[in-house]
Amino acid sequence: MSKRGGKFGVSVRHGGRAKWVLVCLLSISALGICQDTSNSDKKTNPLGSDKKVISQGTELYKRSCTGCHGVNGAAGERGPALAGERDYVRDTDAEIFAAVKDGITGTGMPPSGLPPNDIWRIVAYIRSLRASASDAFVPGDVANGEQIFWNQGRCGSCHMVHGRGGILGPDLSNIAAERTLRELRLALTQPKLAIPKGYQAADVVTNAGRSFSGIIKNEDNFSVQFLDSDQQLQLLSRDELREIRYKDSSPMPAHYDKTLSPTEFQDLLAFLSHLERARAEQNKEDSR
Amino acid sequence: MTKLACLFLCTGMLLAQDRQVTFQDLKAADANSWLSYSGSYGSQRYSRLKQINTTNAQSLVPAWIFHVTQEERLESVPLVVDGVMYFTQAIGVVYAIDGQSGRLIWTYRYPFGKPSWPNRGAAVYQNRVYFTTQDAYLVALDARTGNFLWRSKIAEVKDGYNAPAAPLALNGKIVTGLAPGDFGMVGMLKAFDAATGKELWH
Repeated sequence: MSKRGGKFGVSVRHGGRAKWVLVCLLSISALGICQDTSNSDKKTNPLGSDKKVISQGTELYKRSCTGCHGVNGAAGERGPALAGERDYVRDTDAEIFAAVKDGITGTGMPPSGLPPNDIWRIVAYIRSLRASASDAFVPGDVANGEQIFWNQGRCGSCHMVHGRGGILGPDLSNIAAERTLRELRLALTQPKLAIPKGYQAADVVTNAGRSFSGIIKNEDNFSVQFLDSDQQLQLLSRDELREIRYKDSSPMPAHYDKTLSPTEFQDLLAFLSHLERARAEQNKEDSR
Repeated sequence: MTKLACLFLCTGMLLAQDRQVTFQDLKAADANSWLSYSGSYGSQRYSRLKQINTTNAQSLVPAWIFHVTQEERLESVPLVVDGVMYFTQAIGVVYAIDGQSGRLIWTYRYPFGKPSWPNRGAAVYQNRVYFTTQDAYLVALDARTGNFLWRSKIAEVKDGYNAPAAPLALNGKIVTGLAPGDFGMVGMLKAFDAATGKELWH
């Protein structure tokens, strides 16, 4: 080594120190790589989700993901809103990791080429965008909230929970995993600003004089797929419609914070924050 | 003429009010619908509709195309009930589309397991759509919205079973079997209550 050191014009003594530094650096980076690779097949995020990891993830996200998925995962030109779309809220840590690492076949989502721990930092950030009501601590009496849901709140006349209830509103069986606590509170108290796709209320009149009131499941320039208030599907062609009136407001009542007492409202919120498919499955397993 | 129109309108309204698939409907197997995997309990798998025949088949063109993503083996028989088409996808997805326009009405994604085998299709009875899954469950959905109603275990997936078949709807019962019999597994036939999913016999 001393010879080689000499060859490179470094004195023996300095060469020794340089070697040590090099060895140290190499072993540190090797350690880093080892740790990285071993973290590529974890089911949950091995780095956890503390503030530091999330802020590192934020930086990485800004550099690699914002271009398609938008600032703060809100919405992008080419990728879905990671903070908003319900379909994506379902994903586990490992599934988000796999999507970032390998890309998603058949879509514009490319493999990131980032080292595993950087991917986990992004996973932590995406998770933080979506921390759900089921992860939040919500005080209140869940059982009483359930009573309110089915009785005086009349939520069950439009919404379904685990196979029971109405079909004109969205199924709420997994709502606590899909929504943040803030979103749940807003849904109960504020008139809806945005009506989710498939729940636009409307009245239609056909050329034959039949009229329906209900919600539009889907539509285009030629056809309307309609669920009427008798809970029947009506498949309509635009040219057989005399009139279609879109309603400005959602059929979902607002101001539950005023129509219910503060305790009742909190109990309802506690019940809704408890609605998570994974938890329901676990309870079922436990009771067997 | 007015009377006739009125009669027509009334019949239309009556039909519109009762869209549930009954055992009578399944037995009658009306040619305008396709209510079960084989089309009828006779399992002829032959449509009695006359419009398309050997003389005009060569001039058929697509009326619409509905894209199913992430599918290598789409082996599901579509059911048609009052113009709504129901079919399944191997990855545990069920679709309801408007048969006239090909527009999506709803889609349901089974959230358990990672299926890899094909799925043969669904069954319809009353207001429900039934299908079977890779982890050997029978699942019931609301036919109008795709809302998940219940699932019942047909067999233990750990024992090597899975359930790719289209279930058979009978009078108040849903009957289905198991796979993979072709790999020497002992088969089984099970009947479930169509409303509650309770196992009735096997």
